[in-house]
Amino acid sequence: MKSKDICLSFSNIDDLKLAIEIAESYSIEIIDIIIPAYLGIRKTEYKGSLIGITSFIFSIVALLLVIYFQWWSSSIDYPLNIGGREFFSWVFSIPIAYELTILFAAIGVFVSYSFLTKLPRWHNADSSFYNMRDELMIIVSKNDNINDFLSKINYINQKN
Amino acid sequence: MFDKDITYNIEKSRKVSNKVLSILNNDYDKKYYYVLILLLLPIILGIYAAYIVFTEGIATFGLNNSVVWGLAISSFVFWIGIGHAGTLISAILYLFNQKWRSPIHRMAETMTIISVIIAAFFLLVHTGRPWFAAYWLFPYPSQMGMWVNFSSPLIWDLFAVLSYFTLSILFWYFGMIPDLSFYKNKVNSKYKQKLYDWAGLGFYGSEKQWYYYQRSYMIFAGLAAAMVISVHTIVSFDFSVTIVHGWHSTIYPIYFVAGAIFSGIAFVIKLIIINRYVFQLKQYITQQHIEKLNRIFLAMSLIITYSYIMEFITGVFGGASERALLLERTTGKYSIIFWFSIITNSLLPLLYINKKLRKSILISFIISLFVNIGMWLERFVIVVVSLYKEKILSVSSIYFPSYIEWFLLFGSFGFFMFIYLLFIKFFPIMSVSEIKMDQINEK
Repeated sequence: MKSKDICLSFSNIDDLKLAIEIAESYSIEIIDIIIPAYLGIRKTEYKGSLIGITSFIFSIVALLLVIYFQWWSSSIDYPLNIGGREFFSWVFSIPIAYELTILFAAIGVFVSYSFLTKLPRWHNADSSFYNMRDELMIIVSKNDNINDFLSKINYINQKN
Repeated sequence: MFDKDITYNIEKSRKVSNKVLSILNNDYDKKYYYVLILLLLPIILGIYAAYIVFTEGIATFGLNNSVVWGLAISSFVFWIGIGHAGTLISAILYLFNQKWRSPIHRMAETMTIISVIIAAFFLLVHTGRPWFAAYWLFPYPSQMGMWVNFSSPLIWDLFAVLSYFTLSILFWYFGMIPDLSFYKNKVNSKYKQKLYDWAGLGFYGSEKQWYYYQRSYMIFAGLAAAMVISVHTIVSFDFSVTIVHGWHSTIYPIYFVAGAIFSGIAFVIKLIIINRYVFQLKQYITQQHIEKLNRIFLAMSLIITYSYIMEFITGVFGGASERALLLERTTGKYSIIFWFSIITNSLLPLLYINKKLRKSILISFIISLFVNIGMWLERFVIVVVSLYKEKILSVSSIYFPSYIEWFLLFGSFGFFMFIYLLFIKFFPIMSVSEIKMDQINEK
């Protein structure tokens, strides 16, 4: 969190939602929303499909490599001739290819998740602040309207 | 601007956080350590048996010319089957949006990981000297420059078990990231703080992190579900692609998958009942959980029964050798084991047609215990009786596991409980972040 940012904490989801609405009405930039569980409270512009695409690419590469390796080891590197045919059958290569395709797809998910969320981030200067809590928090950036925004939030809090 | 109108009770959220924290920060009393020490006894016996096998080979087993696979392979199939329920509860139920899985899936996933380790151990130990087996299992060229036989179901099995193990670890760990981050500054122990800080990857619960986390978890669940079905199918190929009577059957994949889920759920039920009692989790693991698990349990039992009937029909109409095998199973030297497994796997679960019995904790515990014994014996019948009957009668001799094999089995149960107890001490036993998510209600 930068020094020009402000963090507000709420214990009620309705208050958090109201704060988001007010911030947007005052054109205040919402830097982050920190929540104890995925609430899915507002529409986001994050591209979740990237995870699926990366996973798919990983799986296709794994599939091709695994089938190629099985063919190469049985037909090229140590060619066996059984009944006039090479010792490779694509049908018999399916089980290993299937398992490793799924495994690499899963690894692809993990890699893309780390990439998109920039994790791991162990050495964070604000590590004491960036912790998960049982609180609903919103971090906003200061601008000319910040005082109006804060006073409105205070008013709502007092009213509650 | 908002996706949906929801309510969220933060006090409830704090309550579940504190409950799990109290388990993590609990200075376990002496009883915990006594149990750990007690479990060292089967583990030492298991290590001793493994040492004997690794130094003297599988001549120490009770195997003979006709029965070349015995207790080690039966136990391998049993343990890999136990490992299925964990992923089923975590992945398949997640995909079906079954929120009741949240308090129990972490325990089930841990069970999966430990049981797959044990299954892999039995796979290695049955080779006698695993360092000689490695060259035909792992894909590297031998001294002759020859590669492993990728057309062999044994190689498929190795890849299936290793892939399943890696994916299970990844899925288990990924699901735990938010919880580890949450507790990293709350646990008492400095070692735990460091471990959680490192393993939590710096996750702090921003909207973006949660959004991508949800998407990733969903894909993980889909992949794990695809793998859980395939793994036991491949294990069944170890048997069904051979020409041994009793093994060479097209029903084996579904028979094995259903059997795996069946025995796995029986194990999960026992595990969650013990956890519920020991850690006072009645508020989170309710009778409803047991009842829902028992419904799946009953469904799987019916599939198993269907497979038994199909095997019986194949035996009656499948020719002289199939009839002989059926006769051997039902009236031969191992018939007591066969009938016991029929009673436990097909008849006993029928009690769950009654809703009251499905909800009963005590009945569930007893039935699941018998089913686990019955399922282990069923694997024993599949492996041993088919081989015993397969060979020429003059060389057929009865197989009874040696004390070394019993020690290995005994040790595997000790190892399971020992590692599970360590897990309880070091990691959150319930998925706190998911329970919190379940507390969100749409208005």
